[in-house]
Amino acid sequence: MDVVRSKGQRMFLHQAIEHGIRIDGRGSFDHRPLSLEQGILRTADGSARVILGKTELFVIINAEMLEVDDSSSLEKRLNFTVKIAPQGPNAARFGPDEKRRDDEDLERDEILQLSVGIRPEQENSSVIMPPSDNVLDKLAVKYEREISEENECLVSRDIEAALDKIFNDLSELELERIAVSKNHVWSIEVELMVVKYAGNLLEAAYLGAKAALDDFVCIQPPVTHDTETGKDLIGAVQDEDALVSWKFDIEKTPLIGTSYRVGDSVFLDPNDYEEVLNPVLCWVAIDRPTSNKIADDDCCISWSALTGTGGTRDGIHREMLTTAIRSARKWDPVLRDYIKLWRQTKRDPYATVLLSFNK
Amino acid sequence: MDARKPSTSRRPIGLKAGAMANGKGYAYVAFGETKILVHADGPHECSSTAAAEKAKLELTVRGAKGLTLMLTEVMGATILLHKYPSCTIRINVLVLRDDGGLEHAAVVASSLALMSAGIELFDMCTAATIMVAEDGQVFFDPPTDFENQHKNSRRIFVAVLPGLNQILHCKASGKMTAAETEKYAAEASAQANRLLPFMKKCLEVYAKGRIANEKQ
Repeated sequence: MDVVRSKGQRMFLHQAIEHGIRIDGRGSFDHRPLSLEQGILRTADGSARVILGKTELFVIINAEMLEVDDSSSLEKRLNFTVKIAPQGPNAARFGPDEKRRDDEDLERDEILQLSVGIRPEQENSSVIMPPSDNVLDKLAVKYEREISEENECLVSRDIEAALDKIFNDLSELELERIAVSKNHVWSIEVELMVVKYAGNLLEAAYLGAKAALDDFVCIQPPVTHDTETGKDLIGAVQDEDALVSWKFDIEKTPLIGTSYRVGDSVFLDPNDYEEVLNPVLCWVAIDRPTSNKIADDDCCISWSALTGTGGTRDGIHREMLTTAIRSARKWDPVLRDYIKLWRQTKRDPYATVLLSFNK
Repeated sequence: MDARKPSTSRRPIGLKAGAMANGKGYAYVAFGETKILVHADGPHECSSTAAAEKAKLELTVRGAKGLTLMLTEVMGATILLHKYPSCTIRINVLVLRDDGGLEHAAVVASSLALMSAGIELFDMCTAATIMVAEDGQVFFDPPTDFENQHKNSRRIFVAVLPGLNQILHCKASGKMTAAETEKYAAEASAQANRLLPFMKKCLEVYAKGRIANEKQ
């Protein structure tokens, strides 16, 4: 179903949210059903699939061994990439909104002018002339367009920056273990592929990345030292049973929650209709509270950001923060239950099972 | 080490609208050693379907990373985009030197550039960054080396529309509760509002200069 963006429908959605009514019948602080699968792709080192309402994305983790001169001087980080397929009503938001027109591309003789310095009227001349003003203007437009197209997929770069912040800066993951030896490091690429975008991408991406990191198993291969060259070498694996493997402890990542605002109304987990209103987003990273009795207001926030196009009044900012904390605390037991279930289940790599806890 | 007193003193600030010879749409801002030049240009005709109802904002940042999204959102909320349908407004930001406080300097410079270009805004947008040390002292606009010496401190950046009393963007790092975040965001907003008289004076000087030039 395509999301219609007529002014009348946007006004209707806006007023409905202000009265606490949502188009799918949820309350303002209810999440959509979540289903989470781990290990969906056996060719990847770690994988997960998240379906949050209609938002669906895959997270794939691959590790590649790199040879370096000195692993101790390198910054050990997970690398995040988010790819969003432009689709339906989100095409204008996520992809280029103009097709290149043929007449804006450089013609053959214009390329000749730039590369060799030959103008058509002087093809047989040996004098090299500078390109004409028309050609230079066309080139300037082409470069400006290329620069602006780099900026167009800001949403995926925003999610990448957020995940990079969460898992590299705010977590206490044992990233030092990525260095296998003095001359070898694992390069861990976490790729998120958004199959369907229908709102609340950041929380879905965070849940998926966390589940995929829990599925990810890394190998510590045997290391030998070559005294002649002074370098460490990766030895051959003699016995598979003696192979040492390790996993990230995802309990050492912060809890993430997001809240959204339209007008003066704060709500959680917008669907594809509500996303069309471009709500202002507030996301927080909190330390896991030691007890359920701790109030949302007393939780320790290690990072918060209020982003989006729109202004927020002071009192509403505070409400957005506490609502985002509430969302983070609601997701935590759901994610833990899923991960506990997947750890206990013996997985058939060819079976696909969908489970949903928060119906 | 920066021996400034907290919160009451700040690095030298330089603001100039009409910084280049042509004047219109240029702004130069310096917060201590952090120097930024911004050029705002528009409205230009745009045939893109995305710009049918309101102007499309094309923002380019050179010399620094991580500013584009924040500036696009803040300026997108500040400019009266609906007044320029089927148009493009271009903002080019050139970071000449980064010594901390890049985000609020870029916001102030972009705001001045847009006003000197004659583009209509909801309000004059200002911004501020404060650092709250472990002992509770608040420092405004800390330079990079000062921040590096206080790694466990809390840092808050806000961009505000003072006349409308609205926060356009807020980033807070460091351990704090929701109440503390609100308190420090309010402190940062107050510091941002203190830049307003300087920005107004800067625009006054620019306007007088333009009138004098046109009379000649």
